[in-house]
Amino acid sequence: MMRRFGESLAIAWQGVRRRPLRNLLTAFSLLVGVLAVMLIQGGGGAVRDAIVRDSVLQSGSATTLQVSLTPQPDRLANLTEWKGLLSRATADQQGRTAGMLVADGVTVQVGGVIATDLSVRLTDPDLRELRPFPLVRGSWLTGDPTVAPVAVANTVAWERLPWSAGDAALVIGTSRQPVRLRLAGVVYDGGDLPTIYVDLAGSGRWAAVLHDQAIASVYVHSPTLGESALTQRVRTVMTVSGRADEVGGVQRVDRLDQYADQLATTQRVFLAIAALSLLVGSVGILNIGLATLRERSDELSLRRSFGATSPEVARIMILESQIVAVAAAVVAMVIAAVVLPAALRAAGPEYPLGPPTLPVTAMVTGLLVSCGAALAGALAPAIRAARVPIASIMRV
Amino acid sequence: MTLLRLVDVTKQVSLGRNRELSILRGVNLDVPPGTSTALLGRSGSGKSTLLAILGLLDRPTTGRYEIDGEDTSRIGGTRLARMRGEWFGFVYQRFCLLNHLSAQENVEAPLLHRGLGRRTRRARAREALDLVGLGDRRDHRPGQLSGGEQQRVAIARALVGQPRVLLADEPTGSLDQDTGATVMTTLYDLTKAQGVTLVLVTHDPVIAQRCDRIVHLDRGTVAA
Repeated sequence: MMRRFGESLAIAWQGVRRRPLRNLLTAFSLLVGVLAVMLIQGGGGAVRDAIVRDSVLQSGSATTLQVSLTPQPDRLANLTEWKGLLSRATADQQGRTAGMLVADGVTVQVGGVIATDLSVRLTDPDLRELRPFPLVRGSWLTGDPTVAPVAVANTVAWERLPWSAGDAALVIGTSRQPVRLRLAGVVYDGGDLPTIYVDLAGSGRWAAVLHDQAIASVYVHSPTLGESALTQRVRTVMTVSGRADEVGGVQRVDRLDQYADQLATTQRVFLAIAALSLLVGSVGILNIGLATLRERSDELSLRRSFGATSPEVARIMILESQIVAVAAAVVAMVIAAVVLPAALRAAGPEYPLGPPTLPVTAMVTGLLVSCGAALAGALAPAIRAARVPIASIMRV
Repeated sequence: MTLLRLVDVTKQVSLGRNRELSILRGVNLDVPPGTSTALLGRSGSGKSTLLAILGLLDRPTTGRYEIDGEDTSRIGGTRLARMRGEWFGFVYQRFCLLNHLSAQENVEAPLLHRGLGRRTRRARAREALDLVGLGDRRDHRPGQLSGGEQQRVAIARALVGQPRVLLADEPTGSLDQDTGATVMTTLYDLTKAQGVTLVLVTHDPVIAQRCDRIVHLDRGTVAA
């Protein structure tokens, strides 16, 4: 069986060699479609990854709950305490918790410029466990007690405000009570607004400046529990601790579910475009296959006279198309491997998680669709080839 | 003893609108093994059609065709194809070589359907080319060979599979007289030497004279 297949492959290769220009053109028409599939899948995958990544950076991965605390006189102490309490809710599920004080509306001066739209978030280093911010420069918060509170800016804040090199000076609050922060690093947090993350560990002295403007929350994440189970656990912890009245609300904040429909629609559109491209390639093969059948009938009759069966003749025709398809797919892979990363670098996210590469799935898909399209185009000519009358060789 | 036997074989082809053309009308023919037979007749007498039926390239409309005593009408398509490849070698008037292949590759071509290894195929093709005196031209393509050389490549191709029967359809029809005579000598000598049965279609009585037997065809029937 394998030997017969090998023989058919050898004959098919002879057939491909016979018409190099025509097969080159066929391969080119396929190549365009396959390249489109690979770029769409690879690019679509990169876009999808970017959307998912930004969603995780901004709101956490599934399942993440935000537990809002009601205003209390000593918000900072409560936040640390609550974080400790709520970590019990997911202790057996590899869960993570992080506290956060969001101090929007605070007047901030950076290098003499008043940044009114800067969002100030007091948090602990564990936030990066929930939202894996890529570090652009410097270092992340450490949680170590310091004299000057440590801050990390997001890339938007870094680019918009005139930070000076080294330890940048930041002034929060009124001019009578300035608090100087040390900028430790810059992260990409997926957001569009200028934000700084300030280490809770060194914020005790100036946190009072925030008064009642800050909103305190604890984020609770579990990679294994669903929304209802995690909510139930959080409420149980609240009740058992006897401090349920300090909780303003519990809500799910990760948004991956909301993106699912959007991603599916995008993928469908991409697939439709790719299918159209392949259809063109497939029709090209069909057209060329049928057009060349007439001139090949002598050769096919001759093969039959050598003892080839009808299915063998059809197999030779199909294998010829598959050789062209594989060649087109390989060339498309090489082109896509060069083009896609360059395109993603030019138009893709500014701070990607990793270097843009052509995914293996895109390569495999490209190869499969190339062979599939070639098969679809070669089927009708192959069936006709199998029916070529053998005796016609006598009339040549 | 008979190798190939035709019994009351007819062949009709449809011309459309319920019109049919009778090409062969009740042909009876016995071909003994190891002999040479010339099918002689005018153009349109049915010689080539008869040869196509003998070589399993076509089937009779009615009648029986037996190979070594086996009725071919009872043989399925796949086995018939294998029999075609194993039993028969063909030489055509216009050589029918594949122009994109070298002489060596053309001679190897029938062996690609025989389940032989590459080395065996190459060795046998070389041997066959040596037999027809073209061992030094094996890398040449048909376009680089003369008509007589192309027909000798075709003879090598027909014999490389070690067939029991060689069927030649006007093998000198495209050649000048001298070249044709050389090609025919090659054909006769090789078939005799290898004990291959030869059935030859020609309209040239001189060529037919060299065969053991001459069968005259006239308007689809055996005249004598």
